[in-house]
Amino acid sequence: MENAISVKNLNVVLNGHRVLADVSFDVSAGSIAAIVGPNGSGKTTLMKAMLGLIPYQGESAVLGVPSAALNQRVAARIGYVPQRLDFDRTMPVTVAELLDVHLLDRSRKNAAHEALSAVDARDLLPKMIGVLSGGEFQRVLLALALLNKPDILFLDEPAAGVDIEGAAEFYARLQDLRAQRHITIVMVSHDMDVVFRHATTVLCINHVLVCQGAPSDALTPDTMHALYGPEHALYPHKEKR
Amino acid sequence: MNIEILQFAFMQRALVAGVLTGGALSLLGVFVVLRKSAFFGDAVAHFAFAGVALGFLLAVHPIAAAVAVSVVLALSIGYIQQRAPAQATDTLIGIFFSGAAAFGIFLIGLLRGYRADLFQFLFGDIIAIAYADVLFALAISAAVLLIFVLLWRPLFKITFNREVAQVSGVPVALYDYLFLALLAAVTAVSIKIIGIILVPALLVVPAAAAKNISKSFRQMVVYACAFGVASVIAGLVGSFYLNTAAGATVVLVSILFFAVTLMARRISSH
Repeated sequence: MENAISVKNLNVVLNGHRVLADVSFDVSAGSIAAIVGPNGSGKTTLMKAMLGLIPYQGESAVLGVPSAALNQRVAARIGYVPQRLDFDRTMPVTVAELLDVHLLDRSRKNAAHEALSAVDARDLLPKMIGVLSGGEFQRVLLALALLNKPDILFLDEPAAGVDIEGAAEFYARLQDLRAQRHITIVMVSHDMDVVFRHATTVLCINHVLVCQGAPSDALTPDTMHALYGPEHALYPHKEKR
Repeated sequence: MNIEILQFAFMQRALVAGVLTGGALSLLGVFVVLRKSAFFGDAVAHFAFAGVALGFLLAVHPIAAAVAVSVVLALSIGYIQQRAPAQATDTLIGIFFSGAAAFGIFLIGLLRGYRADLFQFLFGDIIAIAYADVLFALAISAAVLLIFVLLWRPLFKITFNREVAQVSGVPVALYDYLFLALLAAVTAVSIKIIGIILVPALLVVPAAAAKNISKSFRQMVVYACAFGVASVIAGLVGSFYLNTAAGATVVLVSILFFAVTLMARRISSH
């Protein structure tokens, strides 16, 4: 299977601190890769480096294009939901306008409808963004990420701030999207239950790559110890898998 | 409205130039307000002040000098922001603001004698403008309209979220510089027509009033231009009959629009 992402000897230094050191991995097309690790371990930094949002040393390529050189042509194939989206909620903008502005192929008249339908949120189209609930806003952001029919989705803690039921629904929707559209999904997650249920591969980050592989293979007591320290243990919900 | 005042050529010129400049500044103001750059609009008016003084000292056309100095200082703020993000933006703008005002006054001190023409540039009286200024206002408003049509999508994306914009292929840093340069240039050239007090006010107040009552971005654009144009017309007509300063009256009318829309927003949210 071809690689959607290829990272080799990636190093990131921010404000004089080495946040990521010699990280190397591949993510094959069509997989759901979960980036896990403790707070401050470099998960979001890794995602931003892959998206070319911060400078890095080493190699990182998304869909065969170096991360530092992602241009508009490749951008159409990438969807991104950042962590805690920094946005002025008093900005007068409707969901329809937000989606319309971000649409790259202007000939796709029904694109906003399609993207919102995919996340079961068509009724939100005329609403102002400032009045949406946390769960509704998260669905709109996912619709925004899906708008240009991407081949790969980058989601940084996409269900943060959403209640448990909402989060379960959100991840079920991701599974459906992957099955229907064969898109690759890379997500940062704190929730090991989500990782075990939904991810096909896991990347364990604690400034270095501690482990990678299928969750059940990679997340061993030793790697959990290396990631989170001796006081943490893993209790996978095997009965639910 | 009594149309008697339209018989005066100076009032016709003031209305046409004011409506054109007011509309253009209010349109640009939509992004000034949404990007929380109101203080920058104030500062850039003072960059233009330093530029005009420098123009007089070096015997360069004052407007050209004002545009050059404003654009250079505005881009310098953008550069320092990108290179040293630890500096708070409002602090940085405050420093440039004070520096430009002080530099302008310092330069005026170096000029020999009292220069009435210098003060006309700085406090440009909308009632006293010439026919050439009307054409100038037409050129500015046409340029702003064209640029708005061309750039509003990427500017909107950046205003919503910088990272999402960058991942969607928008060269964010380039557009940041472009916006700063455009704002600086439009402010500098508008000062000659409507004055240093009126320019920052028209950049901020009509768009802020529009934001209070808008339910969409499209509405905000339309309301901002409407409030800007209405402020100019009501202010000029009011100043004619009340025999008050035209620029100041326009600013006060625009602030009235802001106060009313703010109250309307509070009432509708209860």
